[in-house]
Amino acid sequence: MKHREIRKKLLRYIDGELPQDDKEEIQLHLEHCEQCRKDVQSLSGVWKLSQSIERMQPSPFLWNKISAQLEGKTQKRRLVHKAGVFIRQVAQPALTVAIVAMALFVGIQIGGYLNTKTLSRQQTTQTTNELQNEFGLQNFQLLTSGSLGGEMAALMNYENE
Amino acid sequence: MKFKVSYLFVHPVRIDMKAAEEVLMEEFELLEKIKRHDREAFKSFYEIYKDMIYNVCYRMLNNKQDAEDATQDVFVKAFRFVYRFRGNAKLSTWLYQIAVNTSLNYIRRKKIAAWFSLDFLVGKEESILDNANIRPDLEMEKNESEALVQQAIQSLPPRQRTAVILQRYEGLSYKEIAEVMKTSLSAVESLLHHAKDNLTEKLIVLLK
Repeated sequence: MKHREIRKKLLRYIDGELPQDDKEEIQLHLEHCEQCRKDVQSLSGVWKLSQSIERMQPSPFLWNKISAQLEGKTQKRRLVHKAGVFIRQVAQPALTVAIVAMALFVGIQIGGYLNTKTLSRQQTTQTTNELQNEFGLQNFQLLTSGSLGGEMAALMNYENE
Repeated sequence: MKFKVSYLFVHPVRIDMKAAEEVLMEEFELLEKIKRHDREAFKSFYEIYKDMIYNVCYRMLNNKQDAEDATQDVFVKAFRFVYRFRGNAKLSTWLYQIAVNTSLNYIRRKKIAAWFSLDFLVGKEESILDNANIRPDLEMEKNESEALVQQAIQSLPPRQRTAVILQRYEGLSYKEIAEVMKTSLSAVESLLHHAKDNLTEKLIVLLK
């Protein structure tokens, strides 16, 4: 292994995590390389000292904060539950009824509109036919265009359309 | 747990097993109470695990205030989702999972917040020995070593950082780390291998 590769593995060497071959090779290298020897010494010091540090403790008020948050969440959950019950038992059926009523109303309106339109068209046709019959205007249709009867018949057809 | 009678008879571990079973029973009872939203039981649970969770969060985030906020989140999540814990894994493994994921979320959020605050443009960096992270209970030398190692650990990618913290400070085995990180044993080995090589390089630079 080269000097650079060996330096990279020094922490695993300190922790004894290298295979035997690598370990022996590093030991051999350390005998000749002063820089690596110094690095092992300083690394080992810092690494081991930092591990010996006692565990930290959270603030004594942390439980109060957690407890308060849980209380808030419980109240929030209660409100959400109440809202859910309200939606399921009151709002949802009311909304369904409203939608059905609205659909019926719209259906009736559309039906009424279409019915009125058909009736008025039938009425118009009927009235025209009655007028034509009354004045015997169909007979004019046999007349040639340009004549008085032909012009009257054309006018009647135009009105019908 | 099934053991051959002869094994139990000759092996001194038998007594430990009994003690372990008692602990597991107590843990089980505690969890059952928490599932019924027993606040007193949850306080006992908090007292048992608070240091463990806080230390993991602190190592992951390198900031006392963030660690405390993350610890709070971890316990609130544990209380809310305790019904999901089925006892397939150790309780501590489940808690480590929540703590690690919560801390990683904090790191992600902090990165996004830092990006929007445009700190990187003015080159604002946190000092390794800023007042928030100095521990008055430790000697200067220890404080400096701690700060150096912490800074080196913070420079690691999140998954390498998690593996190192769980191994070095929590004393977890490769198998336990694999369970917490939901990965394979070989992946953990590889993560730790790369993490320590990166740490060596970083620490050598910092020590000069």
